[in-house]
Amino acid sequence: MKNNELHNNNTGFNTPKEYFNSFEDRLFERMNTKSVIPKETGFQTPDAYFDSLEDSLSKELFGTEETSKVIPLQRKRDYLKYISFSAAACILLFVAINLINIGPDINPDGLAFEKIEDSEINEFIENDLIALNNYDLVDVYEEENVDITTTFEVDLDETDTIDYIENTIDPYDLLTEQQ
Amino acid sequence: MNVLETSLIDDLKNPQTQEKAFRQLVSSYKERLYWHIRRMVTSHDDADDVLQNTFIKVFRSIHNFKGDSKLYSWMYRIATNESITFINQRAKKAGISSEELQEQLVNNLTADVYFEGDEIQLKLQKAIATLPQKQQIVFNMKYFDDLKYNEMSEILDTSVGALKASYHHAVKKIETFLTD
Repeated sequence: MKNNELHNNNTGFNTPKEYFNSFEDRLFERMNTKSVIPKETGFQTPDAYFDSLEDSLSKELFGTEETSKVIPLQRKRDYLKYISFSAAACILLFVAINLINIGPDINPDGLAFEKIEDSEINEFIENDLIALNNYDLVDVYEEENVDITTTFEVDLDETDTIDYIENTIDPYDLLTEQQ
Repeated sequence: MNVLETSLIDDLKNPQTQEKAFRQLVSSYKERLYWHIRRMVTSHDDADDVLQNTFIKVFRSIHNFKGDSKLYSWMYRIATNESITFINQRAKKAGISSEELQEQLVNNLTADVYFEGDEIQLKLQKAIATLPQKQQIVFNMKYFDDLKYNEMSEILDTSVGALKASYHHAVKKIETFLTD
């Protein structure tokens, strides 16, 4: 075989144009720059910076935030808060009426429950002036056997309810409670 | 452009799907664009501002994107221009040149909680700040982002030959600065 044919490529393989012409330049460039110029800049970012970027940008452009902690059933009305206030109001009325009917006359000055305006009672309850907690309400509620379905006009969609429960209750919490 | 990119752009242009597509876009490109911007403006807070401006601009201009370049190249160009605009506006506000401003920004790195570089890395930033603006961009894109010359040519609208010359000069100046 002649010398000038030693490096002939007869295998069918090709190289990019000018590959060998620029090889030394690229090689020495790589060797020189790596030895003097550091590859890392030293710049850092705050913890979890990149995790929240989509949310802040989406909020700015679309007014929405995917990772919202509270999942409302209805945007305009909070039915559960409405239910709890209404339940408290009804229970208080029943309790108050029963006490008035069975107890002694404790109104020497002639004050009667009937003289209290409904709006005053509602205001008293809504301003958290009543010291009943949820357990107290449940106890009283059970005793009175009030049919909740006939009391409220709220019509909850089943799908909304299921979605709300699924989005607010962590199944792992339930599992650990079971243990 | 590949099929996935075309599909993403179509979704970005469609009001029904644009929010989800935008989130995907941000998720896919935020880190690459952030570091490109950060190397130009040096401070994290400024990089965050410029990055968000970049994505907002991308979103608002998506209908003008003709598809004659890759989506990433187009976004990279917007990020570059936003960074340059930021530096020039900040310099103008301070009544100094953009070169003087960059020198100031680099000097501030010693007190920056989000800079943990050693002495040589700090010196590298000072070296880069001495380069003309375009040379800085070329150097960062080639050395740190490892972009190919033809990709850089598309982004910067500059010939490959000019970019190679620019990079070569940038490296020589930086090496001289670091070894002095």
